[in-house]
Amino acid sequence: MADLEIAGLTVRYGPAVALDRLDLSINSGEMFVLLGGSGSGKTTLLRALGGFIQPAAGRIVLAGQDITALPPHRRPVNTTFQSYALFPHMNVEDNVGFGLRRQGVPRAEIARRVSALLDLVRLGEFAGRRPDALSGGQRQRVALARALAPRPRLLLLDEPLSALDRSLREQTRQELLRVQRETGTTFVLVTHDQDEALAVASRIGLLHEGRLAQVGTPAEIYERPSSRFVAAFMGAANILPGTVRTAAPDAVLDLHGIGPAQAAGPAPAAAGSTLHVALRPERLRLAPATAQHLSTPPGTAQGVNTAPGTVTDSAYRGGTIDHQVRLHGGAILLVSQPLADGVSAGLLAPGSAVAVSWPPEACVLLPE
Amino acid sequence: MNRSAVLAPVWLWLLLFVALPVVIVAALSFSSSIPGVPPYTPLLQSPDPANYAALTEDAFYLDAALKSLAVAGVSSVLCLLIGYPIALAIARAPERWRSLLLLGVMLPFWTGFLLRITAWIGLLRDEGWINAGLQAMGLSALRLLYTDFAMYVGVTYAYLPFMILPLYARLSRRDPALEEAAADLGADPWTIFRTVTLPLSVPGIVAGLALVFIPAMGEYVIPELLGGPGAQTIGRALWNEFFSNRDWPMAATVANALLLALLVPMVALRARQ
Amino acid sequence: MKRSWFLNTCLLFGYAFLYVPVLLLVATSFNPNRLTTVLSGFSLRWYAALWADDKLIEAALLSLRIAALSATGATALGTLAGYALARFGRFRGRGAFAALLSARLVLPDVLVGLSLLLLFVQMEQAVGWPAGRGALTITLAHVSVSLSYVAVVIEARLADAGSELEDAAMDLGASPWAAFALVTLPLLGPALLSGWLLAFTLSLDDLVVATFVSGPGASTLPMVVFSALRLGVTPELNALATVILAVVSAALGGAWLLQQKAGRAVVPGRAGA
Repeated sequence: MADLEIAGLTVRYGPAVALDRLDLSINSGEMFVLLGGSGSGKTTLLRALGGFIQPAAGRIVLAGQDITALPPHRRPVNTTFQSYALFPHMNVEDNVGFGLRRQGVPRAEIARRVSALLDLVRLGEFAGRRPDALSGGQRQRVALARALAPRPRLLLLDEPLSALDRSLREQTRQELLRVQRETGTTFVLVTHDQDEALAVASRIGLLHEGRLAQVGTPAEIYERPSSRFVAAFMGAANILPGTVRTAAPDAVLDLHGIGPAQAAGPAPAAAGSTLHVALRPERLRLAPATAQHLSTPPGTAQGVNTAPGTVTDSAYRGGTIDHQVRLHGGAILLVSQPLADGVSAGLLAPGSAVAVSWPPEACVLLPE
Repeated sequence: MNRSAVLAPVWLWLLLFVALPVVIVAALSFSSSIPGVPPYTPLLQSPDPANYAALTEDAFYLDAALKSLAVAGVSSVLCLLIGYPIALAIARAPERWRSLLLLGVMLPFWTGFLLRITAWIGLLRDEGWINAGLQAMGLSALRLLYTDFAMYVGVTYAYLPFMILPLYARLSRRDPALEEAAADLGADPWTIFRTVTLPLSVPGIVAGLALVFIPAMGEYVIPELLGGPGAQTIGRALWNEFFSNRDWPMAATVANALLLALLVPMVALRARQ
Repeated sequence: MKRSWFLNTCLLFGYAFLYVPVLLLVATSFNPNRLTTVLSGFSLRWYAALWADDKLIEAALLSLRIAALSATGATALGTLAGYALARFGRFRGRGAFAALLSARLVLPDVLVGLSLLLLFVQMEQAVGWPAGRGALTITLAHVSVSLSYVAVVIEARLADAGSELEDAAMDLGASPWAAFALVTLPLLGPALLSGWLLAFTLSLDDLVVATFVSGPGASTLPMVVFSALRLGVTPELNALATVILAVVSAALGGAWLLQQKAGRAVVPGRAGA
């Protein structure tokens, strides 16, 4: 069931359009992630949902109620701010109870709910502390408890993990998911980090220049990006132009700088038209070149695409080894190979002759 | 850099021109007035607390202290009530306007203290602008100049920037996200002000009150020029002991008592900085 | 957050409170009539009278000389003090050092004036210097008042800038003194100028301290204006105020424009009381 309906939402800053006729519906109990680079409009969308900016056009309907014109303090929507915005002159307990006091909840009831929330975020013994006596991770949890206290219909999280150390981030991410599950609240989380989005989201909305580039589950966005932009944003390092030779049933392509390649499934365009193909570095395989590789042109044999090339650079990345390979056709591919037992034996010296191969399913066809 | 080369001249100056004078005032308050040059018995020759006895026994000094307390108290509160909305409005103005708005607050105060008082005399005196306005409306003229009212208005006007500057400094550093967070949690604009903006600006309020209260306690010029002959403040008492009565030890005693009384707000101010 | 009409109204009334007295004074100064509220034309009569008043002109020149000298002295000492506070960390005696400096910012003028006069009298008795009182003692007194203000301005600027640039200079082989001369001082340029101007205006504006420490024959502009004001406002004083207002507005407006061009926010200092 759609809980939040956004229709035709447009926000302008002077002549600049920050959000352009955006439509989106978010389901009840979802962990929806708004993903995008800086200037994509993700923070603008969050602030419009919170009521901090007035849209020039469009509607925001939450649980059947049009909240577009409501000021922040009348919306059943709460926010955790990027800086946490904890009131420095109040202790943890008073911070968390702030929204309940505004609702006129009886004192005893406030104390009960605040202590339950502090238990939920595992901060029970910190109730009397001031925010400046807390660590970054603890502040984040106070901000979460404070925003949940008024039992919002919708919780907005603005880059909740960005201010945390790498080591704390994973742990806090688990906490967020647990709290979301336990409270059943609809979460809308803003981030610029695609790994974070993939790890927490039930669905992702990828924003680009004030519009939604794609909305879908993490798997859909990652495996079936709808455009070059989405593919590039989701970390596809190899995006190559090509021409469609055969469109159906399985597309055959002519990749510029590589040669012919077999894809799985039909092409989104007719034969003769151009498109782009994303080849994820981790789907490519690398083998030392044999005499047979050198004598046969790039192509498809036994259902595997193969192209010969030369290693130009290699980097040890811990879990993987990344090789940069210049193909004989001229294209440069990044190939990421898993390190079987953490042994760096697979490192190939620059200049090594290699063959790059990939299965047809690894070709992700991007419509123009 | 050689630290003592930097510190030595400043220390020397501070000890000679700030600390030593205070010690001399304290010492002089225990001397007696005699005709001659200088007009007092040599310092610390025969310390005599007679001046302090006079200070506590003569109701004149107590009245002067109460008058000064009233002047400083009323005007620092008036400055706060007038200055707070101004400082907040400037702090909330778009960034590019702020420095100009602040300059607008400061400008009248760069024109000279006495000339500002001159302007108020022109407004308040019997044939002044206010009475001219009242008479034009068919009302009778009021006696405004040389009253307590004139004195309060004058001190408030003169010290207003000392209130606005620390308040503005504090308010302009506030984190707008805190006010947004309060709105987000259901606080209406007045509640946001009451629960977030105001409590967080308390250090600025304390600094502003102290910066108005302390100098206003010793104010001489405004009570002299705008207040009536009955407006005997500590500043005027000290001035008259010194210049009219030529009783330097008594003037020093009044000064010493004033200094001790001001230590409390001064410590409060330092603790806040 | 949308601008509050309430705050804007307060701002408007605040500016009215600040400017109406001053603007009426300006209007009066061009009025040929001695009955100031009856505007009966436009005349430069009082400006001519001002120009012909030798006593006033002489006092103004003396004030300017004292202001320039004391501002220079206060800037030199205040820069050292501000540098020490911003860069020396918790040096020995820092608490007392800062307390002595800040005491001058808030102490009522009557206390400062009386204590400095007593110091000068005692010094003359003890070491024969300064002989008598006049321009020299006023200058010394003004240095000791203004240096605290300069120190605040300099410390704030240095604290803003951080010490990385000086560290970089020393890392590249500059001695501490060279780093101070080649990096710190140029960095301080605008702050030095605003500190000097602040000290200059404080000195020009001071009546009470100067009256205490002055001797026969040395009358500054505020002293002359004050004795005239005690007898009542004359149209000539309105003209003088207007001239000063025009000069100050032009100077401040120019400084603001320059700083806007340089892309730095203007921080007006405080005028003294």
